[in-house]
Amino acid sequence: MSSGYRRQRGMALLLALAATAIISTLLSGMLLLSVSHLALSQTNSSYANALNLAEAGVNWELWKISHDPTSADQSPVTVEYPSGSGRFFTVHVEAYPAGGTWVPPADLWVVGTGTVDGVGRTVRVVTRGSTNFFGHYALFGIDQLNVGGSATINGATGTNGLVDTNGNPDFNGSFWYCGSAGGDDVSDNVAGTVYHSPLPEYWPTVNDFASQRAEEKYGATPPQTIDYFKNHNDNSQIVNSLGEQVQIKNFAIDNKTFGADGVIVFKPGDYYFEKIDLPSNNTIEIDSAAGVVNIWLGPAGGVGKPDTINGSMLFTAQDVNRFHLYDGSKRTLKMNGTMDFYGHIFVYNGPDKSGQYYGSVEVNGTGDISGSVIGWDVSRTTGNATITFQSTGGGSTPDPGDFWGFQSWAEVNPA
Amino acid sequence: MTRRGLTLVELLVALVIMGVVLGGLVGLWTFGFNATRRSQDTAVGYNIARHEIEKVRTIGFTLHPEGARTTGYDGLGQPTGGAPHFLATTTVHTVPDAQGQINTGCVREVTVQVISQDDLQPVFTTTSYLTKGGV
Repeated sequence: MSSGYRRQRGMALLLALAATAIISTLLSGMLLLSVSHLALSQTNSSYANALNLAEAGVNWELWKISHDPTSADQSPVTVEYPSGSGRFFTVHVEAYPAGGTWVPPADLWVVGTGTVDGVGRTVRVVTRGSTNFFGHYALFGIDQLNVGGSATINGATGTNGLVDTNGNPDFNGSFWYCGSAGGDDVSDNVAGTVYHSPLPEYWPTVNDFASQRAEEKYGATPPQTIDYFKNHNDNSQIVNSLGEQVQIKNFAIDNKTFGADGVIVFKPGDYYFEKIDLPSNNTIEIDSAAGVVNIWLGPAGGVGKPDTINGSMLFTAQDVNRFHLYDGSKRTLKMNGTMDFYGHIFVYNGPDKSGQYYGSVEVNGTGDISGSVIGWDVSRTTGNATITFQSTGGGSTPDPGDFWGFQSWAEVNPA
Repeated sequence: MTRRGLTLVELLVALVIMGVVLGGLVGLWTFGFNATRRSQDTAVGYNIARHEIEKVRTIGFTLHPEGARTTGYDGLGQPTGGAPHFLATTTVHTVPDAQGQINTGCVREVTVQVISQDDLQPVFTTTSYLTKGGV
């Protein structure tokens, strides 16, 4: 017995240690599993975050080139986002589909890589070339939109400001109240959807367009204003129906400008005027079949009697993207004619010395406008003209307001 | 009697050892349990965040309102009107342009934070940019 007791001495301790060892082993396994599960979860979390960052990079680049295509990052740039977070995206553009240097307005790849805690994901997005800067709007009043008579608007209509309708206009498209827009309720006159956007619609100014055009055509260093075209224009190329040069005096088009044929012809180019008073028995012919015609009405913020188009305008092409009428003055532009108009009318400029924006356009005629009418104050007080937005065209040299939109999305290195 | 006394001391020592070790093991077990729950919440959390970003995109760059909104989700990441396991707060903020203006020409920032209602700690936070015509 005594030897048996001796053999059992310490058994409780041994059993305790054995049980502890077994339980420890089991719990260690569970702990290892939990920790590895947590690590895996955190890695997956980083992957998810990296994807969001990669897309943030793509959108950031699209935003940049939408405002200035020349600012495109042809080689990768890395941005910490959010600042101070230790998270990064890297982004660059390539020509689509061949790769290499992208030249606007061609389609492009935008390649974005998000990196979080050493985990990276890359997405590559095919992006459409420039779209018409008028977006989808047939008619937009930036500060005020007054639509009356029995106008017909085919396409979207919108405003950032005050809506005032009188008469019985037909909005055969969507209607957008943007930002703090208010005024009349147009829902009974809208065939499409009435939207309320929290953000005012962005529009570049005539000076923005002029600056970019001056840089493209004449190599002028930005920023420039519409006044640049006072000394750099193609006014000397204006001819009559016989091909004879027409003298433009004091940058004015009026009854003294026209000869016996009553016609002046604008070849492709950029033309600058400070007064237009087109008599009703005369005609301006826009030879847009041969290229893009831009008419600039200045000077910036210039005041005076309204510019009036009472006569007719002829267009040798029905491509709305081949004619632009930019009014950068404070004079009112009155479209009173009966013509079939193919082009865009843009009347928004500023700021002036007091920080105010301006531009006023009235569409009083009975003709049909194919294109867009955008102005600071848009008034349509009489007549029954139709304004029809044309979704075709585009692909020309990008304007400041052009936006690039993505077509397809692909992940390049899925986890 | 001497032999019985030794056995009692021996038993007490064993109990103390087991108590100390098991006490530590309970701590480890608690840690493991919390880690497992945390990892599960994180996994559900980043899927909720992605869902919230897609919701913003569906509403659209132009039409999504400015500011924050909070949505409740259950433990499986499904939206719920009842007592939520997660609260996802989605904030859309428009970054002013160089002139301090806010319009559709600006970039918008969307931030999603998913908070577990167990411990009121964020399990996942993500931020991304939105732009007109963008992804």
